[in-house]
Amino acid sequence: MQNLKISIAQFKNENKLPIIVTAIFFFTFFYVSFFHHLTFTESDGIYYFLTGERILNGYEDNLGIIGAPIGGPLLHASFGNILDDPFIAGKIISLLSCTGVVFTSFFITKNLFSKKVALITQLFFAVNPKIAHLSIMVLNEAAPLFFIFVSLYFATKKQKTIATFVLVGIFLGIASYFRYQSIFILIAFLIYLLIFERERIFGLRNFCFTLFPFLATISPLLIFNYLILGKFSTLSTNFYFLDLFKFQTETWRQNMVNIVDEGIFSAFFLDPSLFLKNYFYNLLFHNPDHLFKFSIDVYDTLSIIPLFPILGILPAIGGFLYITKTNFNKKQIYILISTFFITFLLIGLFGNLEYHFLLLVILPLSVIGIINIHKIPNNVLFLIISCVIFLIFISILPVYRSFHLLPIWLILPALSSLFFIEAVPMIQTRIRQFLHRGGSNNEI
Amino acid sequence: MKFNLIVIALFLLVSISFTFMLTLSTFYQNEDSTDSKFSILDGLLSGELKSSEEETRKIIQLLKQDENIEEKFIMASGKSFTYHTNSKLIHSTFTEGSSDDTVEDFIRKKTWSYYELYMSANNSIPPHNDLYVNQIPNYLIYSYTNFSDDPNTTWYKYDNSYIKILENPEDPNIPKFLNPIYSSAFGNGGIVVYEVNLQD
Repeated sequence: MQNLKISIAQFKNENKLPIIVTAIFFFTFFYVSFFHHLTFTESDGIYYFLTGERILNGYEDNLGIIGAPIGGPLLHASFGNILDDPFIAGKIISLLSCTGVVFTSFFITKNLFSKKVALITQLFFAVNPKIAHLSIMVLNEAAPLFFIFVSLYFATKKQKTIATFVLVGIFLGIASYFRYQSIFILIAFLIYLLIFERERIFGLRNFCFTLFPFLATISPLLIFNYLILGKFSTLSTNFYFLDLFKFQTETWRQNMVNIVDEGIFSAFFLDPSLFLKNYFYNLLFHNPDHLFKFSIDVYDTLSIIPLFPILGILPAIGGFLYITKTNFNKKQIYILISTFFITFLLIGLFGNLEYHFLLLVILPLSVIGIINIHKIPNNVLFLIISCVIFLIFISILPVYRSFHLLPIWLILPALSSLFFIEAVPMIQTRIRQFLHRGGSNNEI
Repeated sequence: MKFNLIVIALFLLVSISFTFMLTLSTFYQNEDSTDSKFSILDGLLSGELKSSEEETRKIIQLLKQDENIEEKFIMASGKSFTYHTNSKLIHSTFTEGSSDDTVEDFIRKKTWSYYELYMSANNSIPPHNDLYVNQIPNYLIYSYTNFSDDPNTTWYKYDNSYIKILENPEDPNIPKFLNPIYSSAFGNGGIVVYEVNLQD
């Protein structure tokens, strides 16, 4: 007991600022949530609460839940029943989860970079309009995000033990009860373990120590889905394709209506070319647009500069170049320019510059990343991989709210903070040295 | 002071201001709202802000005046009116059916597709499996907004002009069986409540 008290006191002393930031976030949005949001108007919150009630009452109608597994409904209904007020319960779930996200964002970033960078990243989280929105609205997004962030904390630890891998699996499993998207983070982590763990045999061992706890955690969910709903996953992708795909034809839509209950493959084979057209539009325009907003409407963005969201891409790229320690020698510049022109040619031949222009930025940066991959710290590499894998998978759908991308967002403010804290002073020093050298030469 | 700290402070300040305005516009609106995205700022400066939830609360109070509201069906896109009045919901996004429909066809779900019927049944309160059940609403709550999620949406941007007439309760083309009992318009949208007097 004494040891625990000492540990807590030590933790408080070492982490005063992140605790203060978290506390300010909590009390600010507690005030907004409980003094300005007085009527339960969120259809999502009501839907998940009522669905949870049906499940708790025996789930006799066996109707599917559109868009999410049973975790959210069960949490909202049970907690709502305990407090006898689902609205208050929902607000508490959202506020505590987002406070947890802000708190863990510091410790995840501290696993990657210095304490200063971690603090700035945490501040970017605390002032982000979308995190604020999630903390005051009764939705099903904040709780899974919190569990994903806890798993990211363990996944990015420098020294990992068996318990670390087990915890990554368990927390991603818990997050899957709320949103299936957390499986994409698991896939990214497993790929990272298989490819980038130096000792392959340990990679495979750690792979198993992550995968099996994950499967054990979600097995009750899968059993419930199979026994009650007749299928392992309640994800109704084809409904979303029908509702959200940008490019559709009348024939495609008519046929799609008949296969809404089927899986993604049937949707793909209905018209592979149209499916791919939508996929690449989502991957290269629509979904990244929610990160940096290429269009004029700025409301729904995760950029750290929400008033001019597109500018938010610059410090993130700066941080990436800094972390890869890119040395722009002749060879690298040649590779960059040739990648740019080859990409330009490919877009001209097979794509559409209006929707695929982001490739002109992504591909040269990817080439730089691959050339300098050994310079990137392993845990940073994992976050970059999870960002790529998540976008590759999620882009079968156009996300309709930017907060759906929050599970992978951390790397962007973290790289931006790194750019401001470490790269900018370095650039300033180089400029000063250059000017000084220029001055000395003139004197001679 | 260090240049990088000034830039970070500036970025954080912009984010805080943006978050404040977004949060403010989530729960409040300008009394004399216009289409302008900055109307909330005008309202804040002039002190003419009103709670966005006020409309919902007024409509809930109005519906609760119906003694038998718990037995009645409300056709709406949102769930809050039904939830707060313990009534029943026929869910609709008001985009179902075909462009040749009349308002009555729409209410009777005459040309709704299987997909539209399924989505409505699943999102209704209580949800049900019988997609073709005959339910005529007692109230219809039509809320509309001028904002679009994707302004570049292509062909499936349906023509539902026959439903859009519901935006204006004084439109002479509104069928007689719809009796407007509440309406409120604000800069970027509005809400109209109709009593539906349509026989099965």
